[in-house]
Amino acid sequence: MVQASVAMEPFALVEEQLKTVTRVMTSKAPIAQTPKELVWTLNKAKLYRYVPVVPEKDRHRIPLLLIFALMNRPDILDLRPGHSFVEYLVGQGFDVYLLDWGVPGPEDKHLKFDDYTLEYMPRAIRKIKALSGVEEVSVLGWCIGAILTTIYAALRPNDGLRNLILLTAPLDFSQKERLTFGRMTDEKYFDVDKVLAAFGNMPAEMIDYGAKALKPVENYIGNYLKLWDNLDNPQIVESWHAMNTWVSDNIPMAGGAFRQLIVDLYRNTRLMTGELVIRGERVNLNRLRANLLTVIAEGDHITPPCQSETLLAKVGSRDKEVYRVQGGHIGIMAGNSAHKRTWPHIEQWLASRSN
Amino acid sequence: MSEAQAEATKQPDPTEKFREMRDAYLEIWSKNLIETVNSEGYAKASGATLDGFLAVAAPFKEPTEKAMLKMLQQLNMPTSADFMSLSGRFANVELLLDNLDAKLDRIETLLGGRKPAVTAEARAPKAARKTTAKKQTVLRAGGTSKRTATAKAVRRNPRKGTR
Repeated sequence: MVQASVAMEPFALVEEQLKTVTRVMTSKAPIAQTPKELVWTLNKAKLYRYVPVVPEKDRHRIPLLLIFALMNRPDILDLRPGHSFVEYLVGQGFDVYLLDWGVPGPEDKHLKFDDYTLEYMPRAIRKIKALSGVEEVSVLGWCIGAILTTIYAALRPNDGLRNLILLTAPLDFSQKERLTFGRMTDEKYFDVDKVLAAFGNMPAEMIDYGAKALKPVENYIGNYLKLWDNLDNPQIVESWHAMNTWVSDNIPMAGGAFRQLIVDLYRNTRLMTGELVIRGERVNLNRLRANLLTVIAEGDHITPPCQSETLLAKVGSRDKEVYRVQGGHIGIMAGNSAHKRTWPHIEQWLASRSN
Repeated sequence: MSEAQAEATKQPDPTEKFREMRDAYLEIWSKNLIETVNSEGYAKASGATLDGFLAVAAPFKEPTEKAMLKMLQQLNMPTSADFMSLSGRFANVELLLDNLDAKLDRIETLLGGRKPAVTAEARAPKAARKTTAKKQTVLRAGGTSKRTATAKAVRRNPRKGTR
């Protein structure tokens, strides 16, 4: 009997592992769990305020607004309890708000950077000021969110924006050879108008494929092997499950904004050359005067460092800093060492400028 | 137990060598594929594939849309264009409401220095709540309880979002 049970052990283990694989591949992990309340909406966009956990007298005076990319959900900022940037900031005494762009429908295909930066953002920031009773605000933009916040900061320098934090910001598109999406989006091979005429918005699946195709082995094979190799480690399995839940939940990008990203930025580098026009206003980066922290991921294959490095020379801010971190586009904020390096640096930089 | 002892008593993993070989193989494969994906040839091929797909799908798109429109009209049912128009109207109403909200904020500020709404405080920890309670009394005395009520209404109406 004992021999039989010993012989069965490896099979039981494999069965258990297969159950775990099935669970994490077919279910959604509970992510974005930090308590928050809805304080403002406009069309699909929602502004959330995270419930403070630090007494008001100990909190930082200036509220912080988080703005993520347009083609992914912002849940990565609040991945899971104990591994959440939002939870960390709230615990450090910040009054944190999140602008969730929502999922654009066919009716939103005309939405452009113009709408996001001059309609949604100023209104959300006005609401934050009204709720917090403070006339200044800090904004953190990540990826495409960093493009939007940069445009907003340059167009509305007197709107009370005190601190601006840009994470992996794709702003400079001049070094075509080093841009990973450069060839894919070249007008010789990619007819953006034809695609948008067919779909309206840029489909989430196509954006997801484009991003994953940059590192096909890592994304389509390595990622799953990492799970298989660590099935006996519940911590890694849960972390993988949460990340997979976020990665596989993509959203389409509004057609107008996608066209601007490809034509104005990728192909013509209009933001850095000062030729980008938003609702008739030229975006002059020299007018950006907020205190500026740019976080660059050294191993970023989606936004290579060369896309963020040149911004500092263009802006009019006196207080500006570049912080370089080892890691990838997402890893610097959601990786295992994010809470030891990136988060504390952002927190310290912001804390000293938020009272 | 020292590290050396732990190393000596460690069970050998029969799959370790296999994993090392697999990882080395994948690394080579990955480097080659990254180079391929970043090449002119790949961009050309993927562009051609996309063009081909769009060319095949395009002739069916318009007749399908027309047929669907006709059928919905016959059935007296709203079309996607109707929903899109409705959504645009809702967004416009939301914009107007937001404009009104901003005007009310300005009026309140002009009338007597409005203090912030404190909806989030309701769920703050006890220590924070004590501080908040004192502040709210001051706010009511200043005649700003209306604004607090407005902010609460937004929070408690989850259907307000048009998503």
